Amino acid sequence: MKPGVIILAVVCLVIAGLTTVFAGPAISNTVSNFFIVVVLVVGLGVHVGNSGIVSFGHPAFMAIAAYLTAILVLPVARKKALMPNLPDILGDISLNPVVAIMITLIFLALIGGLIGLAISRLNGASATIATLGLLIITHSLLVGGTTFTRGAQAVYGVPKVVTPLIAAGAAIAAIILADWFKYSRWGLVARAAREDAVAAAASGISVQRSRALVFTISIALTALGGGLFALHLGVFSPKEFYFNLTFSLLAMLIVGGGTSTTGAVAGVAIITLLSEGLRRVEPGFDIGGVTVPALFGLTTIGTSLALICTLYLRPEGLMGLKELDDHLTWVRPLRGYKRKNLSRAALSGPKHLRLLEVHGITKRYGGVTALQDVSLALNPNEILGLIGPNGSGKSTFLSCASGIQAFDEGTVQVNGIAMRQSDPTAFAHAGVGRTFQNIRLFSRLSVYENVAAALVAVPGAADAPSIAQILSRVNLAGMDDRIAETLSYGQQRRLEIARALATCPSFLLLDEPAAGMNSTETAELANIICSLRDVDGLGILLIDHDLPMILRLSNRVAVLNEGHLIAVGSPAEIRENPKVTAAYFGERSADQNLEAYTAT
Amino acid sequence: MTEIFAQQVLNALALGGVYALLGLGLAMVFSVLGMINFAHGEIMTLGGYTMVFISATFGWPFLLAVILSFCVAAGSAALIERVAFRPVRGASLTTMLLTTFAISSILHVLFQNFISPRPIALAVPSWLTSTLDLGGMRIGTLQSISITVTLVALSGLVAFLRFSTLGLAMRAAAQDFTITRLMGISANRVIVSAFAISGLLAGLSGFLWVAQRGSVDPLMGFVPVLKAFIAVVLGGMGSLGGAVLGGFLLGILEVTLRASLNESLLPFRDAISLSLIIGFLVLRPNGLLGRSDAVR
Repeated sequence: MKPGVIILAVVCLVIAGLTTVFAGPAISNTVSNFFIVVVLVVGLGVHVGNSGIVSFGHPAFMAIAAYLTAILVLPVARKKALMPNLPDILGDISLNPVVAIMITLIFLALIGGLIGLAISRLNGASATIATLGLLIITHSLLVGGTTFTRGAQAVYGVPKVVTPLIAAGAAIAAIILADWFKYSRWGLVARAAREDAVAAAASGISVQRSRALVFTISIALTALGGGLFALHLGVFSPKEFYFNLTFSLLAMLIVGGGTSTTGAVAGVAIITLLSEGLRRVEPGFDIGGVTVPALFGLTTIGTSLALICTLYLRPEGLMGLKELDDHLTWVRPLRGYKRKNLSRAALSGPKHLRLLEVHGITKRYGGVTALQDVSLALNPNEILGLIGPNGSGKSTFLSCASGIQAFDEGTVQVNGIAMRQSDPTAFAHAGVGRTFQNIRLFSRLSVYENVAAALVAVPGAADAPSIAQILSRVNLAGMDDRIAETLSYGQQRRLEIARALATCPSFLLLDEPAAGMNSTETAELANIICSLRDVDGLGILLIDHDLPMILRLSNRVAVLNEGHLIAVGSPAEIRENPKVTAAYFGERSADQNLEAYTAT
Repeated sequence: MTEIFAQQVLNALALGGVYALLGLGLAMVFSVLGMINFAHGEIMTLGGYTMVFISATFGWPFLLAVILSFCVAAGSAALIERVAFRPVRGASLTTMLLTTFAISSILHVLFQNFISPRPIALAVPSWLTSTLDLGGMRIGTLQSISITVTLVALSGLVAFLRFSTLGLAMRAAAQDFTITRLMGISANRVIVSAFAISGLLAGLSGFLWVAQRGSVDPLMGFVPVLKAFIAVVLGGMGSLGGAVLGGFLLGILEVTLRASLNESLLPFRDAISLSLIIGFLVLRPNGLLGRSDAVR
């Protein structure tokens, strides 16, 4: 276990121990409450931190958990009085609290999984607003569903069995689970998708599945918090689980640092202390003969201001993206990510013909035809240059051939197998890697993690290159711990290639890899690209405006103009082709110009 | 029978109109800034309070109070942008979202402390609550006014966006804010205008909402704005036309459910309408008129 987690656990235990030995019931109560909120905020943090999507809906699941736990543990007589219409199977039982919490956890993880699968189809803002909808839906179900609840009235008489030590135990469990998940292979791919969902999918990560898993784990922790909440307070009603709670949980998480488990714990501590302090002055007080009037809701104002200050001054929260471990200089970052080996069946299966085959693709944007019946095949051991004036459809072609974009007619086959449209994950698994014209890295992850995320997502042969080998391949050796967005432009371009290589591709599609590079960087890049063809036998589709480089490196060159494929041939043939020169320079002065241009 | 049906259609359009106006205000700010503005509902509440105070304290004519409330709503929206939202301009979606959420919470508490935690009644003139006799059919004046106000506001806004320079700048900003700024258009002017217009729309919907219910309370704007958000997503995030369409659809859905659900299911009508919409979004993640951007 990591030192940071151990330190947090020890702190929790010490606080709980001291409280148990020395403190009276009021303080014990506050401390138990604190630890339960830690469970909830860490649970929320699992979602917000790993998916990058703010959820307003977590208190809804917490509410369901609290009601379920209460129904399971309430004494039968009390239950008959409170909820007379409860089905017998629930009405006639009264379970041990531990069993009840277990059942609650499993039940909510199932619900969380189902809803997570649905919500994960939505992006950013839409997903957040959908969780808002969930909160309203659940609230209205709790108030209206009087068979299982008491409507807007409170449920009471739930045995109060939570002690500070039990609550601290739950908090420690939540911290351990959250930390383990964050650095597991599933957490890594989720964080990659958080940074850039499109690039994650093109790196073989199944974005929707990873988000759904994040949601499920997060809901399981929230359920633990909700169950404990019921067993701690003993009395609650639906209004407890509405926007006020959503707001305080989010405020704690963001003040501490939404993407950090340590930050989540720190945020709970800060906001709890602040609220406890403000609550004492809320009813008004006298100071030196001056009467300060009561201000109902002072704690809300305090929380809001703390949140606003954080967002203005340090939007990534107190801990930022870092964990306690990142501040302990003697702790090395995790390096354990490994590729899954290909199944024996996949390895010993018949050797397919290796070919990326685009057949008769037509793509229209509204009235504009970006590609018109384009067919092109990419073989192993070759560099196929793709050139054409701006707007001729090069990037669109690449996006169709890598499954990013849907098209109107035509097919794409990889190694003889027809691919489904707009399923980039499947393309990555079939052996098609790509880079983007506008660099799309996992910006706030390290260089190592950028490559590792793609590496763990796609299984490969046992002897496929390791992360260190891939990084040294693109001249990024020793830069493992640098955060991707801090790299220079040329390094970022090469890191994108490294990430694509981590998926063990047979084909590599590069969209203007040399754009914006100086001549030294371009030469370095050209060497890398050639060695990928000559040493690794990759088939490379190379789009660039650097015509001399394309003509020098390519085995074949294809030319697009206004969505039509106007020529395919050897560099020498392309240089001679009148249609190509016309497309580039206009009809008249074509020949001399291209010769002059390519001679430089 | 036809009378009941016609009345329900009017109800649906009137309620949908309020959601459409709110949604349009939200979509305006979202498309220019990428901000989900939770404080929009509090602008609506503020407009409502202005109406109550002006007509109760000064005894001014109702219409004057209504017009002043629009001005207050538009002005306060622009003011909140200047004071609270400008420091987070250009920040991530989450940062902006939570800032507006915090501002909304602070305004709730201020309303509760300095105005009243309880609903304050508004003396709605009797002509507003009467019914019109239209070719043998009796229809509510208020519903007719709601629909008229919505239509006038929408066509006014369309005209503004289409024919004025500032409107063109705002449409351009909704498409691509960075490029718009590069064209020499002042960011502040576009953003402040977007907020002022969105505030004006909140003021309009506040008037319609308050006239319908006859009172203002601190949390008044919260729930309708939440629903308007969902309407915006239904229409397609970032599309102004989509926001209007989504708003009307939500209104129609709610009125249909209210009319058709039996007694035992009525308490669940919000749950049902929102579940239907979320279910639809899961099948069509970009909403009705949303576009998916090209990837480079």
